[in-house]
Parts: sequence; C-alpha cells; structure tokens
Amino acid sequence: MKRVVALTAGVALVLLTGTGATLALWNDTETVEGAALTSGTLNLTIGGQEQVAIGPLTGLYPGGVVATKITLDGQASGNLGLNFAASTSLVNTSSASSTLFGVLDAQLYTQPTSSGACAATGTPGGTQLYPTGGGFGDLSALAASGTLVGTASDTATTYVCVRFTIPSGTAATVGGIELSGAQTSFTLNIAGEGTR
Amino acid sequence: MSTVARPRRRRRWQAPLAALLVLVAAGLPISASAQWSTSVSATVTATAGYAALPVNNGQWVSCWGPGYANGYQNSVGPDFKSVQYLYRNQVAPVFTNFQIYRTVNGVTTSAPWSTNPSSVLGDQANYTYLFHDRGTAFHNLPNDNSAMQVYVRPVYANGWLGPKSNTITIYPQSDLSQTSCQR
Repeated sequence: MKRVVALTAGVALVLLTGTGATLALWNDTETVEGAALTSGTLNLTIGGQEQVAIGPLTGLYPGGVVATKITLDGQASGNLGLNFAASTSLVNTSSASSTLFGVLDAQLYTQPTSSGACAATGTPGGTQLYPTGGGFGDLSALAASGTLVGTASDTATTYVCVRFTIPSGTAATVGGIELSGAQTSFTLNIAGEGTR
Repeated sequence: MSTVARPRRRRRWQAPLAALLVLVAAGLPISASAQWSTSVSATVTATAGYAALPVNNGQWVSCWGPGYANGYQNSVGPDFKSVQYLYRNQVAPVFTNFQIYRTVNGVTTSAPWSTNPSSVLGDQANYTYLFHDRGTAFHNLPNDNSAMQVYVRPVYANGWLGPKSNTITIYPQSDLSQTSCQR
C-alpha cells in the first residue's frame, strides 16, 4: 500500500513540477518497449537574445520601404523539431502610435543565409511567408509560420527579413493624426512549438 | 547476531497527502503544447516621415534682400535656391511644392510657396519667397516691425510635409531698405 501511495505522490509531483517550471525546457527519461527517450531542449533566440530592440526605423512615407533583418536561432534536441509562428502586437497605444501601426504594411521573408537580399529596393531573397500572396499586407494582421528545426536536426538558423511600408496614396492625416513625425512601437512576436 | 525485521508502519499523513497532491495536480491545466513551446520578441519602433533634405546639411535656406523683386523695392525673404532643381525633380522622393512658415510674436502661420508647380516650381531661379511692404497678408512684413522667423518645409505627394529647414530671422526697420536678415 505504501508503494502505491508513494508512486501516486511521485506522479502528482511530476505533474505539478512540469506545469510550473519554465516551459521551454523539458527533461525526462522513460523506457518504452526498449527504446530510450533521452532529455531534450527547446530553445529560440534572436541573435542569441530572448528580447531585442529594433529601431527607430525611419524613412517611412507613402511608397517608401524600410527593411530589417533578424537572425532566428532554434535549438530542438532530443528528437524534437521546432516550428515557429510570427505575429505583431501594439506596445505604445497612444493615438499616434496606434494610427501609424494601423497604416503600416509589412512583408516577411525567411532566408537560409545571412547574405540574402533584404533592402529597401528590389525583392528580398528567400521565401515570402507574409503575405502568402506576395506584396505587402497589414502589419497589424501579420501572421506567418514555418519550420525552423527539423526533427532530424538539433539546431538551425534562419534569417528573417521584415520590410515595412506606408501604402502609396496614404493621406497626410488619418483620423485627425498627422502621420509625418508620428512614431509607433510594436512587438514582433515569434512563438516556437516543439514537434515530433 | 540476527536481524529482526520490523514491520513498516504506515504514517497517517501519507495517504491524505497523496490524495491532496493528486487533486491539485488534476485541477491544474496541463496543456500538451505548454511543455513544447518557447518564444522570443523584438520590440520595433518606427517613425513616419521623409528624411531631411541633405542639402547643406539641412541648412538650405539663406537670406535674400532687401532688394527689388516682384514690383517691390524692399523685398526680403528666405532663399532656398540651394535646393537644386535637379534634386527636387529627379531624386526620389520628389516633392511638389514648399510650405513657407512665418512666426511673428509667437504666432506661426503658413502658406504654399506656389500653387503652380509646372511653371514656377520648375524654375529654380524662383526659389525665393519674398516678403515685402507692410500689412496683415502672409507675404507682408509685420506692421510693428516685429522680428519674423521663417522656415520652409518641402511638400510631398498627398500633402505630406518633409522636415523643416533651418530658420532665418528677418528684422524689419521703419525704413524697409534697412531691413536685415540673419541666418
């Protein structure tokens, strides 16, 4: 009886610990029909950092394009793969910031090497993930996903080229806000999820 | 020496503790994806607007006059001929006009430099906005000879305004021919 009690308590502790810890890391070893599952790690960084600051980006006017590139590093050991999904959210919620955020368009490319083209002019190299139909899409609706680390690999790096613009023909004043000189602050979120 | 195994005794708190842990664990949301996810973020700041004209490091307005112009003996005003026609017309982004600003006694008003870009804006010899005489109209000098600050902003498509130029100050005198201008 005591063994049952101890086992039950142990299972409960494992469950509690598993849900309360930093979720990016998991370690476990079990034996299932002779196959060993070893410990694994799931990790995602931008240039080695979990949070980075970009900007201030300038030169945004109707028809003008501003490009920036980030290095996305992924680690998924232990027979794990790593998929990612990008989205945006407004940080500065002032009228000027939210208005400009709503006006801005964006496009997102992934590139296998750091030398991929990512400039204000020309077409970026790599694969366009947003918008899927080409061109630019609403920054506020940005949604892009892809595979960073395959299950057969432990680490991988992809280069993400993000370009921003204000659509040609945009009026100087939108909703009573003069856009020239307006500043916005938003977050480009990249969520990683382990795969098998 | 013989060893007598003592019977293990179940402690009374073990069973309730195990039951409690099971209940608590069952009550927690255990998301399959939660243990398989991670995230990073980049905070991006962006400012809308055209870049400042690089001509003369942004100091592209100088003083002109007083002198004869447009039928007035003592015209005076900002001269922005340094913004070359070539730059305005052929270097993207192309602007379509200038907006002139004047500040007198803390009050700033503005007016387009020209509403006829095809004939006037195409001639860099006209890149001078002249103030003359006295009166309340925008192109006149202050009646009370107050100092007047003047700067210029390029106007792009759809009314977007570029960064302002440097500011010059005009000091009218009772004898307008003695009016001075300081950059």
